[in-house]
Amino acid sequence: MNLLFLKFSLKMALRNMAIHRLRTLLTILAVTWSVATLVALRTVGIGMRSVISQQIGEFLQADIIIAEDTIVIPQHVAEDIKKIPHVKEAVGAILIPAKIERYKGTYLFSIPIDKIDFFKITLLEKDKNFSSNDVSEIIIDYEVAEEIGKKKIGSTLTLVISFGTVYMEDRFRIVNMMTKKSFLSGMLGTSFSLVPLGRIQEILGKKDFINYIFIRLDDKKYLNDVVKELRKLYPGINILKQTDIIKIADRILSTVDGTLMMITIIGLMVAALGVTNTVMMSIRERIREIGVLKAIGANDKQILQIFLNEILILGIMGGILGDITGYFGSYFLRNMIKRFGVMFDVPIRLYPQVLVLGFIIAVSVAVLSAFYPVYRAIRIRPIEALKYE
Amino acid sequence: MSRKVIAELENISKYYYIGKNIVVKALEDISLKIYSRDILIIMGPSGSGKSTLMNILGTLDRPSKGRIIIEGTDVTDLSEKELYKFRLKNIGFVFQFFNLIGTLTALENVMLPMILLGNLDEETARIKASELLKIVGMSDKLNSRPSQLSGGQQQRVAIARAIANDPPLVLMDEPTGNVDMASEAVILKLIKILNKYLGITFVIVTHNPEVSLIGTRMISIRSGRLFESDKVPTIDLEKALDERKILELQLEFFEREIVSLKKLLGKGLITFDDYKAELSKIRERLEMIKGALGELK
Repeated sequence: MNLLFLKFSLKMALRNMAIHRLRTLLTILAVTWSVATLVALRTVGIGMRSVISQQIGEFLQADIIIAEDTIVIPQHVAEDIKKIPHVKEAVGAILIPAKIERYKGTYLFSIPIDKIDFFKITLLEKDKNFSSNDVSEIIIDYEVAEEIGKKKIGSTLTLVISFGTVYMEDRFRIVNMMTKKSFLSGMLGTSFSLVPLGRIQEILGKKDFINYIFIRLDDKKYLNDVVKELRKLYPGINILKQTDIIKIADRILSTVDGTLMMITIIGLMVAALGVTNTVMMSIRERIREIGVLKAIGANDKQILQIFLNEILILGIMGGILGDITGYFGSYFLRNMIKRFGVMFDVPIRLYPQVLVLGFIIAVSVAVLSAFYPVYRAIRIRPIEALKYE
Repeated sequence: MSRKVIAELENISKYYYIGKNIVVKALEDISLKIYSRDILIIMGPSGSGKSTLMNILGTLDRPSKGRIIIEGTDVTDLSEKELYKFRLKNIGFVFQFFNLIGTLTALENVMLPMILLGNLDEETARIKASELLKIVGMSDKLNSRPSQLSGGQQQRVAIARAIANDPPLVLMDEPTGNVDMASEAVILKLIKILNKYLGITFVIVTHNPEVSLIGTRMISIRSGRLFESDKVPTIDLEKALDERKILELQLEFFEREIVSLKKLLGKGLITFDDYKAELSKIRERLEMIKGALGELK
């Protein structure tokens, strides 16, 4: 390889780019923008996926969930399930929709007061729990409290329950608040409140009945055995495994990822058109130069080298700047997502595979989009190139 | 004494096809021998085929019929790849519109053919290019870009570029077509000197009668056919450029060439046979220059 020519051609490329600095800058910006979009979306996407899996696991603290739409499961079933080998804990609960202050939609999660630790919910004031199982007390989201009028611990609110044939309005005293980083709130995009199970059973007239059972195993490897046993004991029950929930969330995220990827591809196409345009213009202006180079004895490879240098510089600069902008842009994107109502914090980390992907895509987009004009340029006969005005 | 034939065109015809039925005969059965140290002037009106002839001679275009032999090599059927290399070593080009590479300085433009050939290191190429630029009277503009030079200056850089790889044949297409009269005289003088003392053969296409004054042979081309003229007028260009100065620069240049050649041999980059062959060429030229300097005294 003629290293001296490589150095010379690099000099030619850099000087040409400096002469057309605005055009070069705009093309690098186009590549940077598309790579930055890709890097930011992937960084946030990976972060979101990991936080959701982690939070599902952390919040549910259940490996298996039995869920029914109506409150038809006798409460003693939870106790019976505990007797199945490898079942460590089984907690019965009721999950129904309700309204706070008549307008703010919420999900009421009613659990026995001694089982609150099962769900490892982070509370604003540690150890402040319901006073008994049958009282009108509530633990709400911190942010919801802000939204409905700066409610504080100790104040009361009106809770409206309309479920089946039951309609009830009652004042509930706020005994504690969950910190804003509550997974369900984030996912459902609505508030999520805890109430004592006994009180809700009383309101609904469903004493000793529940619609959810959360089951934790002593070892996850027995998951399928326990599910099999549950199906045998309670044929026709609706069983959800934690892994299934993660899979569902994963599927939703994949759809979101796919949509975002489409946006990224559109961005990349725009950048590709930008590079094609720049290279075409650069070649058009330099067809005579190509003719001269060919006449004095430059071969096709050497002419390709001159243009390839320019394209690679565009791609490499776009890749590096795109990676940097994309990484910092992912913080901006996370804050945007937060504003759209997702309340959990997506962790932003430096994912080398995303940066490498962004860089490779930048260089590939530059090279591929310049391929056709450069191919045409090096195929031109010197005599035609020299005649070009 | 019979002179060496540098290039030979044998029964060259060139046809262009317009659509299926119309054939334009740009050149018709042309045969021509170009001898070493010729300054061959090709004159003719627009559309007479002189540029086509030049392109075929320069291996930029292929003939429809006939053969071209340059420096003993039949180049008619060489592949494009082989032609690039052949041109690089054997043919220098000077164009009407100079066609220097705008992103390169004068010095780099002259270095370019040497770098494309790839048989010199950067420093040697740089020294050789600056010597060549000295010879064409451009030593004070080494680092100027083409846009910073006048037409005449650009053409002088283009001439230095054309002889960078020591080609035996330099083709010039209207070399003074785009320069002022003062520059024209300088360029013509330069061609004459390079021909006389470096032994370079020039083929010049022009329609400018003044250019024809420096020729050793003149050919007219009309409707694709050649007519050789016996009368070769001469011109006194002594006042245009200081001949002694140029000869002294050339003397200096060739002495440095011998030093570079020894270095190349020392580094094992050339064989001893190549060294001997090159050395005898340089010595021959040195003798010529010394003789010419003696005559001037």
